[in-house]
Amino acid sequence: MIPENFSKALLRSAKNDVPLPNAKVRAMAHVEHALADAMQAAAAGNGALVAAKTLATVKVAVAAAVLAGAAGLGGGYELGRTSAPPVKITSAPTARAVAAEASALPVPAAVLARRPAASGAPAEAAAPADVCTAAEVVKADKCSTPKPGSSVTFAMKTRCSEASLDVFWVDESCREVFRGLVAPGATFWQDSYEGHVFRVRDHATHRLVSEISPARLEAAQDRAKYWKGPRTELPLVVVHEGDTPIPESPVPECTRGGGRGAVLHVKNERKTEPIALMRVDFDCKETGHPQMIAPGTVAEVGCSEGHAFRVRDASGALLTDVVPTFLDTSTYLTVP
Amino acid sequence: MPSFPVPVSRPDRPQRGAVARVSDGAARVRTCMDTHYDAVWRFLRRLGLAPADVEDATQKVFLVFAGRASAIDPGAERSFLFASAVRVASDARRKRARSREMLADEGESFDVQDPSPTVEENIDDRRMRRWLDEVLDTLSEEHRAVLVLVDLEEQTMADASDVLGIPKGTIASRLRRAREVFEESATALKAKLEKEV
Repeated sequence: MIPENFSKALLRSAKNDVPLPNAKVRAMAHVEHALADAMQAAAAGNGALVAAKTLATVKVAVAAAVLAGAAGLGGGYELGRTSAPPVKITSAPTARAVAAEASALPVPAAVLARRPAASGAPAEAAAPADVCTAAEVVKADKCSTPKPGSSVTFAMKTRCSEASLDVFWVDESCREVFRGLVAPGATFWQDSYEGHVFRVRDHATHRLVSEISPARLEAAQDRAKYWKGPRTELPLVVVHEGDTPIPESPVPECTRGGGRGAVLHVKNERKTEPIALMRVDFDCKETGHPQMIAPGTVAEVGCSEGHAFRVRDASGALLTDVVPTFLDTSTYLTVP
Repeated sequence: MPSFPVPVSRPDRPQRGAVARVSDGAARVRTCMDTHYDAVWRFLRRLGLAPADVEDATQKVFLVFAGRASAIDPGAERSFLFASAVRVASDARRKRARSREMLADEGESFDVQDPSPTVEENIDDRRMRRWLDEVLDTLSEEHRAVLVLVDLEEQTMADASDVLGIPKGTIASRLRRAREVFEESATALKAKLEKEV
């Protein structure tokens, strides 16, 4: 049916065009992640200061974080932007929500300053620079099947030591849809379905690095059933007045994807001192968004079952680790 | 190629530390994203960006804003965002033209949760928007930006002049010409569609 006043109708139709429901949330989380990383990089007073000053593009934001060796942007992108499915984003806290909660109390500089380097830091684990640039270009001819199979969660670790990678989902029409940016050496998690195809390209050159179609592990549960129902209540974490710091050590376990929505309660029984809840990302690094918990209060933290945390006192000393308790049935891949 | 100006900003302000500037920006970015995200997204979409690129481009616009928030006068946020969007759209189009993959005209962003087709009620709207984009594609970049700003985003000619950094008189003449081309293209498209029916 073609309207009588066609040109006016065309103009009117634009008004109803709106972004996807979670687009703004994803964007906010992404921008705030980039801001927090840039601030951290700038505060560290290292080479990333220059990048943070000119924070203007995604590339620069990534460069700031990478140069600073600060928070893993791979995880940040995943949480905040396009790699996690909308259902997960709504149940898990966005960086925005965390930052908003944290902003109620000032974060002592010591908390940020005393964070140790991640265990198995990407730069150390990464292969030589030419692994990605010299990777043989694979043929890109697969598309996602229109009726995908069972749910699959996969973790893709990049062996690139310098190149950032773009991950694209190849839809059933064979179009590439951007899903996320993976920093060198970082891990990218994605909830998907069997039969879905992803292409991995060099962020700078758009050169094809790999084409993957992750298969589901036999033990993996169907997400459609597993993610239903109320959120999982994670074991209560209580910080007592007399708790003394434990020795500083690398993060025992990284955050993992694929878990269902969960809620974590952290109780600060101290009378005068706040504590800081630090999120751990997919590469075992503490992210730059501590949530400060006031004395005598209980913080409720929306998260997923696979999320890991650390608790620090106001001086930045490590008090305890909160590790994931669920069965990880993700498919692990390495690219290239 | 059009030469779009540097967005409205205050480069003459004293330079401050990077941390302070980024920190100041965070609160404004939140407010601005809440208020203007949809408008910026829609503006970029109507400037001709493929659906798959719009979300990225919108984020890029707000990242630019975040990096320069301290230099933008209160009240000038929307103009700055639209001006940045014009440049980001221009860059994105160039990049897309260079890339090997060509996206189809139609399509929505990927949604893992529900990859099924859009519900029927939206089909008419989507079809109209596809036709709208088809008609807008017949305009030059300069004319398209003016038409989208004034007729779709309901900016005044003065605002459009600020955003695009060109005199009001030029805006008026471009708008007049843009509307003529739009009308001609819409009429031609309508005739074509009626013929097909």
